[in-house]
Amino acid sequence: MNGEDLKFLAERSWTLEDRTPERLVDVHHRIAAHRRRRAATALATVAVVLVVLALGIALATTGTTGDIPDPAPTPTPAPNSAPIKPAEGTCWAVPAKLVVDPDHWVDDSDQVSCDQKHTTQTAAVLVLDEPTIEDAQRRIDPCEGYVLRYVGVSQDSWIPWSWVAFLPSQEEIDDGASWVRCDLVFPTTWEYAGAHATTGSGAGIADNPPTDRWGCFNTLPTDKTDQPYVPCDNPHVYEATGTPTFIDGLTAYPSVSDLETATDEQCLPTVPDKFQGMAITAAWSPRSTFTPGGSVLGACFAYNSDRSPLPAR
Amino acid sequence: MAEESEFNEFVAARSQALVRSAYLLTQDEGRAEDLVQTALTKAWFAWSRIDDPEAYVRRIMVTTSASWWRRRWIRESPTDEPPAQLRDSGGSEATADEGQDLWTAIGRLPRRQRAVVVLRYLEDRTETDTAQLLGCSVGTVKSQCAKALAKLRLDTALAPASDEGSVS
Repeated sequence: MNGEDLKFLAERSWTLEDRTPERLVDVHHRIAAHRRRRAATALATVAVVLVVLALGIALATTGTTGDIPDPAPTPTPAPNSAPIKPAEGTCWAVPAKLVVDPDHWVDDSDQVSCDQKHTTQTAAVLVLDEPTIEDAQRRIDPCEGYVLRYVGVSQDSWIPWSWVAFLPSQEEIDDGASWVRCDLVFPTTWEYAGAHATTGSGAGIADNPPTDRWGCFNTLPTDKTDQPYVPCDNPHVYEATGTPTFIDGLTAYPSVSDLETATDEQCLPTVPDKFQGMAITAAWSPRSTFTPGGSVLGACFAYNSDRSPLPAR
Repeated sequence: MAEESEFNEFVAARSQALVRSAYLLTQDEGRAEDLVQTALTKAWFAWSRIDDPEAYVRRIMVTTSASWWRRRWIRESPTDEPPAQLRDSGGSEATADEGQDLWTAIGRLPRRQRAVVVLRYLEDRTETDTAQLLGCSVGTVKSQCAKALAKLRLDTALAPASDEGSVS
Protein backbone atom coordinates (compact mmCIF):
# COMPACT_ATOMS: atom_id res chain seq x y z
CA MET A 1 0.00 0.00 0.00
CA ASN A 2 1.09 3.55 -0.59
CA GLY A 3 -0.54 6.91 -0.06
CA GLU A 4 -2.09 6.90 -3.53
CA ASP A 5 -4.24 3.94 -2.46
CA LEU A 6 -5.97 6.13 0.10
CA LYS A 7 -7.02 9.08 -2.05
CA PHE A 8 -10.40 7.70 -3.02
CA LEU A 9 -11.50 7.88 0.62
CA ALA A 10 -11.68 11.66 0.34
CA GLU A 11 -14.89 11.17 -1.68
CA ARG A 12 -16.66 10.25 1.55
CA SER A 13 -16.53 13.84 2.73
CA TRP A 14 -18.37 15.07 -0.37
CA THR A 15 -21.56 13.37 0.74
CA LEU A 16 -21.94 15.71 3.73
CA GLU A 17 -24.89 18.04 3.65
CA ASP A 18 -23.96 21.70 3.21
CA ARG A 19 -25.28 23.48 6.27
CA THR A 20 -23.23 26.65 5.95
CA PRO A 21 -26.08 29.10 6.77
CA GLU A 22 -27.00 27.23 9.97
CA ARG A 23 -23.32 26.95 10.83
CA LEU A 24 -22.83 30.69 10.59
CA VAL A 25 -25.72 31.21 13.01
CA ASP A 26 -24.37 28.53 15.36
CA VAL A 27 -20.89 30.03 15.36
CA HIS A 28 -22.26 33.47 16.23
CA HIS A 29 -24.23 31.91 19.08
CA ARG A 30 -21.02 30.37 20.36
CA ILE A 31 -19.21 33.68 20.04
CA ALA A 32 -21.99 35.44 21.96
CA ALA A 33 -21.94 32.77 24.68
CA HIS A 34 -18.17 33.07 24.94
CA ARG A 35 -18.47 36.83 25.29
CA ARG A 36 -21.12 36.48 27.98
CA ARG A 37 -18.86 34.14 29.92
CA ARG A 38 -15.96 36.54 29.63
CA ALA A 39 -18.19 39.39 30.74
CA ALA A 40 -19.52 37.33 33.63
CA THR A 41 -15.97 36.58 34.72
CA ALA A 42 -15.02 40.24 34.53
CA LEU A 43 -18.17 41.29 36.38
CA ALA A 44 -17.57 38.70 39.06
CA THR A 45 -14.05 40.03 39.52
CA VAL A 46 -15.32 43.58 39.78
CA ALA A 47 -18.03 42.46 42.20
CA VAL A 48 -15.49 40.76 44.43
CA VAL A 49 -13.30 43.87 44.43
CA LEU A 50 -16.30 46.07 45.28
CA VAL A 51 -17.41 43.76 48.08
CA VAL A 52 -13.92 43.70 49.54
CA LEU A 53 -13.71 47.48 49.31
CA ALA A 54 -17.13 47.92 50.88
CA LEU A 55 -16.27 45.57 53.71
CA GLY A 56 -12.99 47.37 54.25
CA ILE A 57 -14.77 50.70 54.44
CA ALA A 58 -17.41 49.29 56.76
CA LEU A 59 -14.82 47.84 59.08
CA ALA A 60 -12.78 51.01 59.03
CA THR A 61 -15.87 53.06 59.82
CA THR A 62 -17.17 50.88 62.64
CA GLY A 63 -13.80 49.87 63.94
CA THR A 64 -15.13 46.42 64.61
CA THR A 65 -14.23 43.03 63.25
CA GLY A 66 -17.65 41.47 63.49
CA ASP A 67 -18.71 38.53 61.42
CA ILE A 68 -19.43 39.08 57.78
CA PRO A 69 -23.18 39.02 57.39
CA ASP A 70 -24.59 36.04 55.59
CA PRO A 71 -25.40 36.70 51.97
CA ALA A 72 -28.99 36.48 50.82
CA PRO A 73 -30.14 32.88 50.91
CA THR A 74 -30.15 30.99 47.64
CA PRO A 75 -33.69 30.83 46.32
CA THR A 76 -35.20 27.38 46.59
CA PRO A 77 -38.21 26.10 44.75
CA ALA A 78 -41.51 26.31 46.53
CA PRO A 79 -42.67 23.10 48.22
CA ASN A 80 -44.36 20.61 45.91
CA SER A 81 -43.08 22.38 42.79
CA ALA A 82 -41.06 20.38 40.24
CA PRO A 83 -37.33 20.71 40.76
CA ILE A 84 -35.65 23.23 38.51
CA LYS A 85 -32.54 22.28 36.58
CA PRO A 86 -29.51 24.22 37.80
CA ALA A 87 -28.39 26.91 35.39
CA GLU A 88 -25.06 26.93 33.61
CA GLY A 89 -22.60 28.73 35.86
CA THR A 90 -24.16 27.60 39.14
CA CYS A 91 -21.52 27.14 41.84
CA TRP A 92 -21.61 24.34 44.41
CA ALA A 93 -20.00 23.81 47.79
CA VAL A 94 -19.45 20.08 47.32
CA PRO A 95 -17.13 18.84 50.09
CA ALA A 96 -13.71 18.43 48.48
CA LYS A 97 -13.40 14.76 49.35
CA LEU A 98 -16.77 14.04 47.71
CA VAL A 99 -15.74 15.84 44.54
CA VAL A 100 -13.07 13.22 43.97
CA ASP A 101 -15.02 10.27 45.34
CA PRO A 102 -15.93 8.15 42.30
CA ASP A 103 -18.88 6.68 44.17
CA HIS A 104 -20.46 10.02 45.01
CA TRP A 105 -23.15 10.61 42.42
CA VAL A 106 -26.31 11.79 44.17
CA ASP A 107 -25.30 15.20 45.37
CA ASP A 108 -27.21 17.28 47.85
CA SER A 109 -24.52 19.93 48.25
CA ASP A 110 -25.50 23.56 48.60
CA GLN A 111 -25.69 25.93 45.68
CA VAL A 112 -23.67 28.99 46.62
CA SER A 113 -22.98 32.33 45.08
CA CYS A 114 -19.86 32.04 42.94
CA ASP A 115 -18.35 34.84 45.01
CA GLN A 116 -18.30 32.41 47.90
CA LYS A 117 -15.89 29.50 48.19
CA HIS A 118 -17.02 26.66 46.00
CA THR A 119 -15.49 23.48 44.64
CA THR A 120 -17.45 22.88 41.45
CA GLN A 121 -19.29 24.94 38.87
CA THR A 122 -21.87 23.65 36.45
CA ALA A 123 -20.90 23.91 32.79
CA ALA A 124 -23.81 21.92 31.38
CA VAL A 125 -26.80 19.89 32.51
CA LEU A 126 -27.81 16.79 30.54
CA VAL A 127 -31.33 15.41 30.77
CA LEU A 128 -31.56 11.71 31.61
CA ASP A 129 -34.24 9.17 30.82
CA GLU A 130 -33.85 7.84 34.35
CA PRO A 131 -32.06 9.60 37.22
CA THR A 132 -29.79 6.63 37.83
CA ILE A 133 -26.06 6.22 37.99
CA GLU A 134 -26.22 3.75 35.10
CA ASP A 135 -28.05 6.19 32.84
CA ALA A 136 -25.74 9.01 33.88
CA GLN A 137 -22.68 6.90 33.10
CA ARG A 138 -24.05 6.20 29.65
CA ARG A 139 -24.71 9.85 28.95
CA ILE A 140 -21.81 11.81 30.39
CA ASP A 141 -19.34 11.40 27.55
CA PRO A 142 -20.09 14.90 26.22
CA CYS A 143 -19.45 16.41 29.67
CA GLU A 144 -15.76 16.68 29.06
CA GLY A 145 -16.26 18.74 25.91
CA TYR A 146 -18.80 21.01 27.57
CA VAL A 147 -16.55 21.64 30.55
CA LEU A 148 -13.49 22.07 28.35
CA ARG A 149 -15.23 24.74 26.31
CA TYR A 150 -16.69 26.32 29.42
CA VAL A 151 -13.32 26.82 31.08
CA GLY A 152 -11.74 27.75 27.74
CA VAL A 153 -8.97 25.17 27.72
CA SER A 154 -7.63 24.55 24.24
CA GLN A 155 -4.49 23.45 22.50
CA ASP A 156 -2.84 26.75 23.34
CA SER A 157 -4.37 27.68 26.66
CA TRP A 158 -4.03 24.88 29.18
CA ILE A 159 -4.52 25.23 32.89
CA PRO A 160 -5.07 22.45 35.43
CA TRP A 161 -8.72 21.51 35.19
CA SER A 162 -10.98 18.55 35.39
CA TRP A 163 -14.62 17.66 35.40
CA VAL A 164 -17.03 15.68 37.47
CA ALA A 165 -20.64 14.61 37.01
CA PHE A 166 -23.36 14.60 39.65
CA LEU A 167 -26.99 13.55 39.82
CA PRO A 168 -29.45 15.81 41.67
CA SER A 169 -30.12 15.33 45.39
CA GLN A 170 -32.25 12.38 46.44
CA GLU A 171 -35.03 14.77 47.38
CA GLU A 172 -35.00 16.32 43.92
CA ILE A 173 -34.92 12.88 42.30
CA ASP A 174 -37.92 11.88 44.40
CA ASP A 175 -39.67 15.00 43.13
CA GLY A 176 -39.00 14.08 39.51
CA ALA A 177 -35.57 15.55 38.74
CA SER A 178 -33.79 13.61 36.00
CA TRP A 179 -30.56 15.20 34.92
CA VAL A 180 -26.83 15.01 35.41
CA ARG A 181 -24.60 18.02 36.02
CA CYS A 182 -21.29 18.38 34.22
CA ASP A 183 -19.21 20.42 36.65
CA LEU A 184 -15.85 22.13 36.32
CA VAL A 185 -13.26 21.32 38.98
CA PHE A 186 -9.83 22.77 39.66
CA PRO A 187 -7.70 19.88 40.92
CA THR A 188 -5.15 20.26 43.70
CA THR A 189 -2.83 17.56 42.37
CA TRP A 190 -1.76 16.26 38.99
CA GLU A 191 -3.79 13.10 39.42
CA TYR A 192 -6.83 14.92 40.72
CA ALA A 193 -6.60 13.74 44.29
CA GLY A 194 -8.34 16.86 45.57
CA ALA A 195 -10.40 19.85 44.51
CA HIS A 196 -9.57 23.48 45.12
CA ALA A 197 -12.15 25.67 46.80
CA THR A 198 -12.12 28.85 44.75
CA THR A 199 -14.10 32.04 44.39
CA GLY A 200 -15.27 33.62 41.17
CA SER A 201 -16.53 32.03 38.00
CA GLY A 202 -14.36 29.61 36.06
CA ALA A 203 -16.10 30.45 32.78
CA GLY A 204 -13.54 31.20 30.10
CA ILE A 205 -10.86 31.53 32.73
CA ALA A 206 -8.24 29.63 30.72
CA ASP A 207 -8.10 32.56 28.30
CA ASN A 208 -6.60 34.77 30.96
CA PRO A 209 -6.10 32.72 34.11
CA PRO A 210 -5.30 34.32 37.42
CA THR A 211 -2.06 33.18 39.01
CA ASP A 212 -3.81 30.90 41.47
CA ARG A 213 -5.21 28.76 38.62
CA TRP A 214 -1.90 28.32 36.80
CA GLY A 215 0.00 25.05 37.08
CA CYS A 216 3.25 25.01 39.04
CA PHE A 217 5.16 22.17 40.70
CA ASN A 218 8.18 21.83 42.89
CA THR A 219 8.54 18.20 41.87
CA LEU A 220 7.43 17.00 38.49
CA PRO A 221 4.89 14.19 38.66
CA THR A 222 6.20 11.02 37.13
CA ASP A 223 4.31 7.95 36.15
CA LYS A 224 4.71 6.73 39.72
CA THR A 225 4.07 9.66 41.96
CA ASP A 226 1.27 12.17 42.05
CA GLN A 227 2.30 15.71 42.97
CA PRO A 228 0.40 18.66 44.35
CA TYR A 229 0.27 21.90 42.42
CA VAL A 230 2.07 24.62 44.34
CA PRO A 231 1.14 28.32 44.35
CA CYS A 232 2.69 30.03 41.36
CA ASP A 233 2.86 33.30 43.26
CA ASN A 234 5.65 31.80 45.35
CA PRO A 235 8.98 30.60 43.94
CA HIS A 236 8.53 27.23 42.27
CA VAL A 237 10.62 24.85 40.21
CA TYR A 238 8.32 23.94 37.29
CA GLU A 239 5.84 26.25 35.62
CA ALA A 240 3.27 25.30 33.00
CA THR A 241 3.85 26.83 29.59
CA GLY A 242 0.13 26.67 28.82
CA THR A 243 0.19 23.85 26.29
CA PRO A 244 -1.21 20.33 26.67
CA THR A 245 0.39 17.24 25.20
CA PHE A 246 -0.97 13.87 24.23
CA ILE A 247 -0.24 10.64 22.44
CA ASP A 248 -3.15 8.46 21.44
CA GLY A 249 -3.91 5.21 19.72
CA LEU A 250 -1.42 3.41 21.95
CA THR A 251 -1.30 -0.30 22.60
CA ALA A 252 1.13 0.11 25.50
CA TYR A 253 2.32 2.92 27.74
CA PRO A 254 5.02 4.79 25.83
CA SER A 255 8.71 4.37 26.53
CA VAL A 256 10.66 7.21 28.12
CA SER A 257 12.16 7.93 24.74
CA ASP A 258 8.72 8.09 23.07
CA LEU A 259 7.53 10.48 25.76
CA GLU A 260 10.61 12.63 25.22
CA THR A 261 10.03 12.70 21.48
CA ALA A 262 6.41 13.73 21.97
CA THR A 263 7.49 16.38 24.44
CA ASP A 264 9.96 17.81 21.93
CA GLU A 265 7.45 17.72 19.08
CA GLN A 266 4.54 19.19 21.00
CA CYS A 267 6.08 21.44 23.65
CA LEU A 268 9.07 23.05 21.97
CA PRO A 269 7.20 24.73 19.10
CA THR A 270 4.76 26.34 21.51
CA VAL A 271 7.03 27.72 24.23
CA PRO A 272 6.03 31.31 25.04
CA ASP A 273 8.71 33.99 24.86
CA LYS A 274 9.01 34.25 28.64
CA PHE A 275 10.27 30.67 28.81
CA GLN A 276 12.62 30.84 25.81
CA GLY A 277 16.04 29.46 26.63
CA MET A 278 14.76 27.43 29.58
CA ALA A 279 14.59 23.67 29.82
CA ILE A 280 11.25 22.21 28.75
CA THR A 281 9.67 18.99 29.88
CA ALA A 282 6.21 17.50 30.16
CA ALA A 283 4.22 15.86 32.91
CA TRP A 284 2.31 12.84 31.64
CA SER A 285 -0.67 10.86 32.83
CA PRO A 286 0.52 7.93 34.93
CA ARG A 287 1.09 4.41 33.74
CA SER A 288 -1.45 3.16 36.28
CA THR A 289 -4.24 4.94 34.42
CA PHE A 290 -3.32 3.70 30.98
CA THR A 291 -5.60 1.32 29.14
CA PRO A 292 -4.57 -0.32 25.85
CA GLY A 293 -5.99 1.56 22.92
CA GLY A 294 -6.02 4.71 25.01
CA SER A 295 -4.00 7.86 25.30
CA VAL A 296 -1.45 9.41 27.53
CA LEU A 297 -2.02 13.05 28.26
CA GLY A 298 0.19 15.71 29.64
CA ALA A 299 1.16 19.32 29.87
CA CYS A 300 4.35 21.21 29.06
CA PHE A 301 6.42 22.73 31.84
CA ALA A 302 9.45 25.05 31.83
CA TYR A 303 12.23 24.91 34.42
CA ASN A 304 15.79 26.01 35.03
CA SER A 305 18.13 23.21 34.05
CA ASP A 306 19.84 23.42 37.46
CA ARG A 307 16.37 23.14 39.08
CA SER A 308 16.84 26.50 40.78
CA PRO A 309 13.50 28.11 41.65
CA LEU A 310 11.64 30.24 39.16
CA PRO A 311 10.41 33.59 40.44
CA ALA A 312 6.84 34.05 41.58
CA ARG A 313 4.58 34.35 38.57
CA MET B 1 -18.31 46.05 11.24
CA ALA B 2 -15.66 45.18 8.66
CA GLU B 3 -14.15 42.41 10.75
CA GLU B 4 -17.48 40.71 11.28
CA SER B 5 -18.32 40.98 7.63
CA GLU B 6 -14.94 39.49 6.67
CA PHE B 7 -15.44 36.70 9.16
CA ASN B 8 -18.92 35.94 7.85
CA GLU B 9 -17.65 35.87 4.30
CA PHE B 10 -14.91 33.49 5.32
CA VAL B 11 -17.36 31.16 7.07
CA ALA B 12 -19.71 31.26 4.08
CA ALA B 13 -16.95 30.60 1.58
CA ARG B 14 -14.74 28.11 3.38
CA SER B 15 -16.52 26.41 6.24
CA GLN B 16 -17.99 23.56 4.22
CA ALA B 17 -14.52 22.67 2.97
CA LEU B 18 -13.34 22.84 6.56
CA VAL B 19 -16.13 20.51 7.65
CA ARG B 20 -15.10 18.03 4.96
CA SER B 21 -11.54 18.07 6.28
CA ALA B 22 -12.79 17.77 9.84
CA TYR B 23 -14.88 14.79 8.82
CA LEU B 24 -11.86 13.05 7.38
CA LEU B 25 -9.99 13.74 10.63
CA THR B 26 -12.76 12.71 13.02
CA GLN B 27 -14.73 10.26 10.86
CA ASP B 28 -17.90 11.53 12.51
CA GLU B 29 -20.22 14.17 11.06
CA GLY B 30 -21.31 15.60 14.42
CA ARG B 31 -17.81 15.83 15.78
CA ALA B 32 -16.64 17.38 12.52
CA GLU B 33 -19.25 20.11 12.76
CA ASP B 34 -18.41 20.71 16.42
CA LEU B 35 -14.70 20.82 15.66
CA VAL B 36 -15.13 23.39 12.91
CA GLN B 37 -17.45 25.57 14.97
CA THR B 38 -15.06 25.45 17.91
CA ALA B 39 -12.16 26.41 15.67
CA LEU B 40 -14.13 29.22 14.00
CA THR B 41 -15.19 30.61 17.36
CA LYS B 42 -11.60 30.65 18.51
CA ALA B 43 -10.57 32.27 15.24
CA TRP B 44 -13.12 35.03 15.72
CA PHE B 45 -11.44 36.19 18.91
CA ALA B 46 -8.07 36.26 17.18
CA TRP B 47 -9.36 37.59 13.87
CA SER B 48 -7.45 40.88 13.91
CA ARG B 49 -4.17 39.05 14.53
CA ILE B 50 -4.59 36.34 11.91
CA ASP B 51 -2.85 36.67 8.57
CA ASP B 52 -4.22 33.51 7.02
CA PRO B 53 -7.57 32.56 8.56
CA GLU B 54 -7.89 29.23 6.81
CA ALA B 55 -4.46 28.06 7.90
CA TYR B 56 -5.21 29.23 11.42
CA VAL B 57 -8.55 27.42 11.59
CA ARG B 58 -7.17 24.27 10.00
CA ARG B 59 -4.33 24.24 12.46
CA ILE B 60 -6.73 24.48 15.38
CA MET B 61 -8.80 21.70 13.87
CA VAL B 62 -5.87 19.41 13.33
CA THR B 63 -4.45 19.95 16.79
CA THR B 64 -7.79 19.49 18.53
CA SER B 65 -9.22 16.73 16.38
CA ALA B 66 -8.85 14.10 19.05
CA SER B 67 -10.35 14.20 22.47
CA TRP B 68 -6.91 14.81 23.77
CA TRP B 69 -7.69 15.93 27.23
CA ARG B 70 -9.78 12.99 28.16
CA ARG B 71 -9.04 12.29 31.78
CA ARG B 72 -9.35 8.58 31.29
CA TRP B 73 -8.40 7.82 34.80
CA ILE B 74 -11.45 9.54 36.21
CA ARG B 75 -14.43 7.31 36.58
CA GLU B 76 -13.15 5.09 33.82
CA SER B 77 -15.37 2.07 33.56
CA PRO B 78 -14.90 -1.00 31.41
CA THR B 79 -16.82 -0.92 28.19
CA ASP B 80 -19.05 -3.67 26.93
CA GLU B 81 -18.21 -2.79 23.36
CA PRO B 82 -16.56 -5.57 21.40
CA PRO B 83 -13.09 -5.02 19.98
CA ALA B 84 -12.77 -3.29 16.65
CA GLN B 85 -14.43 -5.16 13.85
CA LEU B 86 -12.35 -7.68 12.07
CA ARG B 87 -12.55 -8.14 8.37
CA ASP B 88 -15.42 -10.22 7.10
CA SER B 89 -13.84 -13.29 5.63
CA GLY B 90 -16.57 -13.62 3.02
CA GLY B 91 -14.61 -11.55 0.54
CA SER B 92 -17.64 -10.33 -1.41
CA GLU B 93 -18.20 -6.71 -2.37
CA ALA B 94 -14.45 -6.32 -2.28
CA THR B 95 -14.21 -2.68 -3.22
CA ALA B 96 -16.76 -1.37 -0.74
CA ASP B 97 -15.30 -3.57 1.99
CA GLU B 98 -11.82 -2.40 1.18
CA GLY B 99 -12.88 1.22 1.44
CA GLN B 100 -14.58 0.61 4.76
CA ASP B 101 -11.59 -1.35 6.03
CA LEU B 102 -9.20 1.41 5.05
CA TRP B 103 -11.47 3.98 6.66
CA THR B 104 -11.58 1.92 9.85
CA ALA B 105 -7.84 1.42 9.82
CA ILE B 106 -7.18 5.14 9.37
CA GLY B 107 -9.47 5.80 12.31
CA ARG B 108 -7.23 3.61 14.44
CA LEU B 109 -4.07 5.55 13.64
CA PRO B 110 -2.66 7.80 16.35
CA ARG B 111 -4.08 11.28 16.01
CA ARG B 112 -0.98 12.89 14.55
CA GLN B 113 -0.38 10.13 12.04
CA ARG B 114 -4.03 10.22 11.02
CA ALA B 115 -3.75 13.97 10.48
CA VAL B 116 -0.68 13.52 8.30
CA VAL B 117 -2.41 10.83 6.22
CA VAL B 118 -5.53 12.94 5.79
CA LEU B 119 -3.64 16.08 4.84
CA ARG B 120 -1.07 14.40 2.58
CA TYR B 121 -3.19 11.84 0.78
CA LEU B 122 -6.88 12.50 1.26
CA GLU B 123 -6.49 16.26 0.82
CA ASP B 124 -3.50 15.92 -1.49
CA ARG B 125 -1.42 18.56 0.30
CA THR B 126 2.31 18.91 -0.13
CA GLU B 127 4.70 17.90 2.62
CA THR B 128 5.54 21.55 3.22
CA ASP B 129 1.90 22.54 3.45
CA THR B 130 1.19 19.63 5.79
CA ALA B 131 4.15 20.56 7.99
CA GLN B 132 2.93 24.14 8.23
CA LEU B 133 -0.56 23.07 9.20
CA LEU B 134 0.72 20.68 11.82
CA GLY B 135 3.37 23.04 13.12
CA CYS B 136 6.18 20.56 12.61
CA SER B 137 9.09 19.99 10.26
CA VAL B 138 8.88 18.39 6.81
CA GLY B 139 11.06 15.61 8.21
CA THR B 140 8.45 14.88 10.86
CA VAL B 141 5.73 14.74 8.20
CA LYS B 142 7.80 12.26 6.21
CA SER B 143 8.52 10.05 9.21
CA GLN B 144 4.91 10.17 10.43
CA CYS B 145 3.69 9.28 6.93
CA ALA B 146 6.04 6.31 6.78
CA LYS B 147 4.96 5.13 10.22
CA ALA B 148 1.29 5.56 9.37
CA LEU B 149 1.54 3.61 6.15
CA ALA B 150 3.50 0.88 7.90
CA LYS B 151 0.80 0.68 10.57
CA LEU B 152 -1.94 0.53 7.96
CA ARG B 153 -0.18 -2.36 6.25
CA LEU B 154 -0.20 -4.26 9.53
CA ASP B 155 -3.74 -3.34 10.56
CA THR B 156 -5.96 -6.35 11.20
CA ALA B 157 -8.75 -4.73 9.20
CA LEU B 158 -6.53 -4.78 6.15
CA ALA B 159 -4.82 -8.09 6.73
CA PRO B 160 -5.48 -10.77 4.12
CA ALA B 161 -8.58 -12.79 4.98
CA SER B 162 -6.62 -16.00 4.58
CA ASP B 163 -3.19 -17.12 3.55
CA GLU B 164 -4.41 -17.72 0.03
CA GLY B 165 -2.63 -15.61 -2.44
CA SER B 166 0.18 -14.64 -0.13
CA VAL B 167 3.62 -14.72 -1.61
CA SER B 168 5.84 -17.33 -0.08
